[in-house]
Amino acid sequence: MAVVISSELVLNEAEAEIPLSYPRILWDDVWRDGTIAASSEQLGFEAANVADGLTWDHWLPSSLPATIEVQADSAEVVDYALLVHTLGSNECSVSGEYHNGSIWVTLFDEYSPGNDRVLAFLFEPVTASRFRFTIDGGNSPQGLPAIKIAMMGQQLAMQRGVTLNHRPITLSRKTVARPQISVGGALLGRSILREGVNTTIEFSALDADWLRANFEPFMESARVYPFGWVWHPEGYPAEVAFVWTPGGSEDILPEHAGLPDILSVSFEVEGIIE
Amino acid sequence: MTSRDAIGREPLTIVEIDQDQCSLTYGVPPCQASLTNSPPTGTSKCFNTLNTCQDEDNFTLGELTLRFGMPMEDNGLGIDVVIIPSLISVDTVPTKINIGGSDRNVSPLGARAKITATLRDHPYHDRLVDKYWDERNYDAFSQGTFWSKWLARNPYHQGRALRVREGYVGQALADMQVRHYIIERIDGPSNGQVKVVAQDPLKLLDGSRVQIPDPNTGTLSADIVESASSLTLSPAGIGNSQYAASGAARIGSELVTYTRSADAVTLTARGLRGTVASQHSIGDLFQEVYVIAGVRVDSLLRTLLVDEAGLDSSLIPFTDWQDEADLWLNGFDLSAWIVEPTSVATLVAEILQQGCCFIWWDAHDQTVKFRAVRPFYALSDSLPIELDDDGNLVAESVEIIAKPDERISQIIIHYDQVNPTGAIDDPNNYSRQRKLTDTESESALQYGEQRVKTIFGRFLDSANDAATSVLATRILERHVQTPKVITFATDAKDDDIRTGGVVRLRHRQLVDVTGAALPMILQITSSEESDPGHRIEFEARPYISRTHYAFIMANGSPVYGLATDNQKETGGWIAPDAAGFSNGDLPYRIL
Repeated sequence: MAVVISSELVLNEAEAEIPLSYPRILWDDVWRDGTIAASSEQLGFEAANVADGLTWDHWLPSSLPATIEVQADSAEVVDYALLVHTLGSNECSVSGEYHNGSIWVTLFDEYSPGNDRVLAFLFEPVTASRFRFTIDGGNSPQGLPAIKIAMMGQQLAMQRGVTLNHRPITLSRKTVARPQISVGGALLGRSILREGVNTTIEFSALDADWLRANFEPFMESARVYPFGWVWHPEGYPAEVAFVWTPGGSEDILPEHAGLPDILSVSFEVEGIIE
Repeated sequence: MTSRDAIGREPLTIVEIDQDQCSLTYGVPPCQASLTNSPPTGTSKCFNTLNTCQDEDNFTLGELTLRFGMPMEDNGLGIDVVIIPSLISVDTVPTKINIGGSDRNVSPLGARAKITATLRDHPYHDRLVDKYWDERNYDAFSQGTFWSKWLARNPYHQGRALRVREGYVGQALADMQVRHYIIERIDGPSNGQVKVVAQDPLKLLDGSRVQIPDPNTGTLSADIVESASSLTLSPAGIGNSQYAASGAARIGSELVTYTRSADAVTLTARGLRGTVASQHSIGDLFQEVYVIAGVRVDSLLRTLLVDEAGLDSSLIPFTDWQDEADLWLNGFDLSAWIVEPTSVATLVAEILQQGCCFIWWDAHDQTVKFRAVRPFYALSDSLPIELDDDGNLVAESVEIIAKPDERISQIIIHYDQVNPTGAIDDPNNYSRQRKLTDTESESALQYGEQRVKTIFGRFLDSANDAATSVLATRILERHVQTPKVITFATDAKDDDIRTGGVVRLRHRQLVDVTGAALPMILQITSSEESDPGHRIEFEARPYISRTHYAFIMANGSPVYGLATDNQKETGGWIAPDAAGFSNGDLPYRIL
């Protein structure tokens, strides 16, 4: 049974192998290479837009309720879902299901986020080849919602928590402000440019074997693809971001931390939280 | 939502490109393209562009608007608008007015607005630009890039519309300011970028594009003597394809009038306009002449721009043009015989100088504006927009630049051209001359030198004696003191100041001889939103005149010393003497 911890993060109450106070990196994605189909779509806002990793294009259904489904080439293990969306603005809900070969089975229950912040669901691992989201507007949807990103896959539960100086990404907005001062000293105007969020993710004392087995595939993926970042699922479930490594810092480079079997890693990310 | 005058406004720039796109669906009638016919019309479906069309007879022109913006957290435009976040920058070279040909480095036509939009190239899934993206047998995202594919599919992009929308996060597209351009070229992709270069619609005047008269290729099929009254054009059939039924023409250095039936030409008059009837040989060119006979400058410009250069007539607010000309340019009825194919741009530049006026493209209003070279006149012009150090002028942005090279003390206009086939810049080819000299400025106590500006007025003839006087006076008055250019910047909140507009500047460096503030009325000659949505750069020139032009104020108006600045600009007072008013202001001149 899934437990809603916050409006942004839904967790399973099952005992986690790694504590829920440790970060989750949501990078593995069965939607990326699967075949996407939707109950409806508008011209220019095709369903395939949810799986391209790009946040500037999106899927718009033509009517509600609407479903969007992925058919993977083979059975895949899935224990998280992530959405970048406008469900809150449009007062809509979302639910997740997988197909067990004969019927659709619940991955997570219908959930109304109430805002447009990045949404992540963590749940017990399920093996299937078909998965879907169902979007519903109930009795009074406010327009049709956009789904910018839809992901499902296996979460990477980090072996350690983040280091002490970590800046929670939802509190790390990046803004460039440009004031305009007159000859006489008056403030004529002030323009700003919101450049999303960014932070540094740092782990120390990671077991070298664990890193090579679990973290290295993510390192390879992060060279190209964005990913979900949940830095403290239990304590701060609202703090979910969809991030990527910035240009010039695409490669994540672990380093030995004194002992040969212990590695540390630090990397920059930037992204969006809604 | 933010706006221009809101603290924390978030500027937003969107570049829109209108791409030609066939509105039909592949293989759906009337489209006859087919992959299954025998033989098929192609090996894969088209991209709804002319270059990839397999049934051009049924190509149905539609439009796809692509929108590009800068990567940002939230453009606020809502989920119904697709903005491709690949815009890196928009660099502008603004329209620059050249009032009275002051700037000798710029054509009297001025400098045309030009923008360069730099866009990042990137992998693209084609879903917005390819109707059949999900039927392709390749992965569009991993094959080619957005621009490499777009350019291969859309080679005919020159001349298509490009718009720059500037606004703020939260504004609807329709509420943003729009500037309109025409695509000139797209450079790249190289180094992961393309540059889209676009200009204002006056680019249609470019020399290589339009010439009048049209260059002819018909020649005499036989020798003719001085007294011949007919000739036959060669090759056969060229008469109807290239020549009017009647008109004027040039054979060698002789000008004639003619009527024509097919290739048979009857010469109705010979040796016209100072030329001599003479023998001509087989093979000599018979070139039509473009005759302008007493057309007022506003109408003449409109004819050249619309009828000859092909500018859309909706871009010319001709009623406004006529109002301006009615008030300031009566008497500027121009005449000329254009005997050599000449670019419209060249002719328009000449006409602007000799017609005492200027034009410019207003990218905001999407119109070509027209104005006489004249003093500021508050009854027909909008009142000046007030700008001062406290509320408008950005710190360290004001610069006052002297232009001694533009100062003139004499103006000489050669007019009433003798022989249109002769040299335009030969004073001996004109029968009349207007000379106006400002002896005071030439005196040793002032500048101590003669600075002569010469105009060769082939569009001015003996009917323009009065007009040449007006032309000489207005240009000389504007340039007899060392001209100045004032550049300054304002915050984006002052976006109501437009090129061609008038401002009254109060700046701590603009003072009289006592050091007291001396507000200066300026005409904006160029404006550029150098930092879109944030900062606007202006170049302006003072309305310098040694006399005020105005109407006498109505009864009940205050005495001069108590009048407001705007009252002083709107009406006139009688000064005690020719020296002007007791506060040093110059006297008025009654129109």
